[in-house]
Amino acid sequence: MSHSFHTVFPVADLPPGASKAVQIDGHNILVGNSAGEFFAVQNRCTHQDSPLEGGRIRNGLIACPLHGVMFDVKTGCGRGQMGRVPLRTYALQVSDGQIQVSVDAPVAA
Amino acid sequence: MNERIPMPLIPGDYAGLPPGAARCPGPSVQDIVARDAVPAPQILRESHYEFLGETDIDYRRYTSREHYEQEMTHLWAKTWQWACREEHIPQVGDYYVYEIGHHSVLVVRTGEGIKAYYNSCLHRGTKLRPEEGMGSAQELRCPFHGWTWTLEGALKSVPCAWDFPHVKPETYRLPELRVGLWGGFVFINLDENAPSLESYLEVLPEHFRDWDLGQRYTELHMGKILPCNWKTGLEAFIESYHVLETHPQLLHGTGDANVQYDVYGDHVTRFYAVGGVNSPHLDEPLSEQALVDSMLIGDRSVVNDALVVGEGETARTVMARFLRKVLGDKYGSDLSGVSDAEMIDTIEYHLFPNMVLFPGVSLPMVYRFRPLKDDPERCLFEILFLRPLPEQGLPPDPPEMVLVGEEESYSVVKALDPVLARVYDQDTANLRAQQQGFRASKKPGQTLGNYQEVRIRHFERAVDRYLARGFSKEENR
Ligand code: FES
Ligand code: FES
Ligand SMILES: [Fe+2]
Repeated sequence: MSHSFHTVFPVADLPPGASKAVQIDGHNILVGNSAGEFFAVQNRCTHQDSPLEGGRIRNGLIACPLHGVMFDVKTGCGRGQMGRVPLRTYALQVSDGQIQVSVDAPVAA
Repeated sequence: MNERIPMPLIPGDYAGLPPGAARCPGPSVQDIVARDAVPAPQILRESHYEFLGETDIDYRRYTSREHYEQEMTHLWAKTWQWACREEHIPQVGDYYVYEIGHHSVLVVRTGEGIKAYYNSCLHRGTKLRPEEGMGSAQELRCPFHGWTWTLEGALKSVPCAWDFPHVKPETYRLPELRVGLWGGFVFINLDENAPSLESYLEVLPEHFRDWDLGQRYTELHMGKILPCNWKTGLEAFIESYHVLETHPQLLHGTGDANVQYDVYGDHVTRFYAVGGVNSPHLDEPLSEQALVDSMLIGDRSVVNDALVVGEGETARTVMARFLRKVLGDKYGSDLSGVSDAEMIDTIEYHLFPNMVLFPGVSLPMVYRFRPLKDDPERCLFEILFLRPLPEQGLPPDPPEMVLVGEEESYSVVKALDPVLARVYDQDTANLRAQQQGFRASKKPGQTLGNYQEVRIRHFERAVDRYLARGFSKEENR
């Protein structure tokens, strides 16, 4: 069965440390660059619902801009007592210099 | 180099010497260093021992809640402590939460420099940031009701501000603590009347003038919870006397009994252990070549070649030359001016209360020991490795602390040399037994070696001085 990947933006738009939100089929998704590796996670903090866009990305973790809870961008796992609920993560691929995200493809481990 | 040196096995004899004057037979650190090819800096060519007494140290200092509380009030709330490294908070908005007992401090890189705040909301007290460690924010917003401060500490917004006419922004700035910077470390002090960090550091800045730890970055950060008092933990790392029994595998290539112990002022002590020489305790001393072969500890990742001791050379010279090259290449920094001693010896400083630091290049650790929450018999032991900053390009992001479980081996830390993991396992394995033994003992205190354990006595004396100062202030009230 084939999954639909949506082209979101060119790789060049997302330097290390940057993140941008995008809507796909009603999903609010944050696509970001963690030290050269791209990731896609839900753009809503599981703590108290703040968008994660623009949160500082360091060491493979994104810090929520509102209260600072940190989430692993690969696994979605949060840190500490306010980060108990993980973020949903999305499958992402790069093709022809374009970042593509899918809302239904399984996330590679 | 040394012959097998006969040593008495039974104590109790001053042998005609004043207390504290006896030394291990064999060449001293100063004898050995004097023969080095690339000579050691002046600061390593001096010794500074002082006899500080020989009475026992009471075990209740390590077990009693009362002593623990006194330390919280009169020691931890009065002394300068390093909270984090500057590279933990490289950009405006980065912060680090440092906790000591029930105190929690939020160290923030702001537009006005590094500031430290009491980590507690001015509304109803909630910690602004719940856990220790690194993070980033554009403003400081409390998770409970959303009161928000700027990074610089000004009250910025309060939800339903109409309900708080009595909250004047001028009086609701986040209260600050004092901050001091030295060697790339951010220090804080909970006492607004404490002397300056500069005076607190005593001889340290002078000793470290050519060892700028500000030019290092944190490569690795490990933590382990130890089932002992924080002083029990620390004291296991400021004497080298235990090497003989606890780390017999290190006897090859360590002048273990010929370690130099120095005490300075109220806050600083050091030991200086030479590498590349035989232990005076070894039955069969090694050849210079065998010494080189045995010295490859600390950074085995760089060993890529045979090391041959040439005619008329010592193991120390060869090893230092080798490490200068490989470590210089690996970290992209020029080590050509670094002396043999600084390359291969173990030089360890203690800054009261809880900072232990190694200026050397091949074993570049910093230790920190802290009581854990409110338990006198548990502590957190952290180890950081500080590597030279690359001459070009940026260092990697500062790592999060890897926590090694209480019952776990340090070998779970992938980035740690297995040889060192074994050493730390041996060190930490003694501590539960020692802490429990404090309570099991009929004898009320521990007995210290006059020379090799003088740093422990010096340290405990400093603890006493802080507690005594606290008491005399209480009485004057
Ligand atoms: S909403 Fe993200 S940390 Fe609170
Ligand atoms: S306790 Fe912080 S906003 Fe209420
Ligand atoms: Fe040890």
